[in-house]
Amino acid sequence: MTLSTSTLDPAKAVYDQSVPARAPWSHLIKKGQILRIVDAKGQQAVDTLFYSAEKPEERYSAQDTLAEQGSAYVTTGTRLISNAGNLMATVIADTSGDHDTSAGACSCEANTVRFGHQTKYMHACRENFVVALAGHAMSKRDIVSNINFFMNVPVLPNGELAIVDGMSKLGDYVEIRAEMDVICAISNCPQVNNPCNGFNPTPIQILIWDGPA
Amino acid sequence: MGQNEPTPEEYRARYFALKAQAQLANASRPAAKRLENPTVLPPELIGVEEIIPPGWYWTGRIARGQSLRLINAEASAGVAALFWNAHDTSERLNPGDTVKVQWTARISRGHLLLSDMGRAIASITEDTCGYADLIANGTTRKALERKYGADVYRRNSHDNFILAAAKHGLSERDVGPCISFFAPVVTDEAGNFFWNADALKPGAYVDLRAEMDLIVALSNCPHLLSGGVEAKPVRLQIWNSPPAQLDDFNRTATEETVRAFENTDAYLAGY
Ligand SMILES: [Zn+2]
Repeated sequence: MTLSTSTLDPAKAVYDQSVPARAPWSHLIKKGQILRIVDAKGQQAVDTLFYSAEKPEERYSAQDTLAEQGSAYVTTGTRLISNAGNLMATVIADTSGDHDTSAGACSCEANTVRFGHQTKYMHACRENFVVALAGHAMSKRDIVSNINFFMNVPVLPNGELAIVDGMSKLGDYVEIRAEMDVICAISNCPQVNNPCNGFNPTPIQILIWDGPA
Repeated sequence: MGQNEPTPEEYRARYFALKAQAQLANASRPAAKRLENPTVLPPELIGVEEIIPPGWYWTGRIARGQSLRLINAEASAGVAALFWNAHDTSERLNPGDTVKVQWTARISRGHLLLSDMGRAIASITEDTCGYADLIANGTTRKALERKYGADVYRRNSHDNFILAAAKHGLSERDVGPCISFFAPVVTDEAGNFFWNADALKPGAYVDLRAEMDLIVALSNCPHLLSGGVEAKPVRLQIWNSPPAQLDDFNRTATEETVRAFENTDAYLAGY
């Protein structure tokens, strides 16, 4: 992991919004703008997707991003690559550590498989994504493997892959600079069946700055 | 919190109990009782047989209960694949769920492919290679130009998948993350990827049994991490395999696989 901090002043942000625990969020981030996601209380997974605002068929690709990077986690310096192989955004600050982009988002249906049929009626990230994307004329078809900021999923040499306790502390953040106009869709993860949210979903804070003029 | 809702401590205890069970199951899979698929398929079982040329794609349908065999006679460096539910293509392979639900990125014989709807869509009933990658593939024209130069056009999986999807009325929106068979991507302790070329042996094959009617797209382009090798021809056979019985190995491997099949059964029953 490559930890790094930011010098951006929250007082100068053009957007500053709290997203409640378990809620969806989406917003246009213009090329050059910087998005900060703050894990306001710590140990909160933030499921995140990016779509080209101009041509939403072009979207974030976890597999292309990791193949080009040659390693399994998102951190400072990670270039977020689209399904067409273009650079969509760059992670420019990260105070927390290695973020997952392999394990996908939780869903009611996957919860029934993982944790039992009794978990079907628990709110889930893909419910949030469907609602968030509906606001941009997209649907379940458009949901692809996302980034899980502040979610800790080691991929071990023997192949083992499991969500373990989050490492993020109160106030940790990541910053992402948009390299094209993107729609960012977020699910503030409601999951309590695994450790990704410390079994207690909490609010996050989203800030956006205009890039250097 | 409702009266009967588990406490955080109870959720945690259940999560780690499931993890321990799954680790045991994953460790015992290689030695477990197996379906004895014929090493060489008798011609009367084979419905379709084709050779996918280097760089090309194949697409078609596989009915529930039939199997797709991929034979990697010349140790080509990965074959990428997408799967859609033939009756509702908004349901498709979900790599994240496939690795997360089975607690491993090393998906091989005895594992399932899961859709985004929590259903078993295919079972890996044989895999003599032992490596499939669901985390890192993706060849695009742009990536290949960055890696090998822009002087020649190179066929790539993203373009291949758009072409395959188009032949079923689908579009780039339907081309999601894939699985790559014969792709020995391993990670070190720090999470760096390595291509374990020694694991690619000529003649390795994979059998995938469809658990619902599927549309399949295959792309015979080398994995991006394979280091610039040329693709080799890959043979595919669609064959009449025994359908999954109630005591089927892939179905009964873990609590999770049982529930994935229960979800598929309910869907096939019309619910
Ligand atoms: Zn979630």
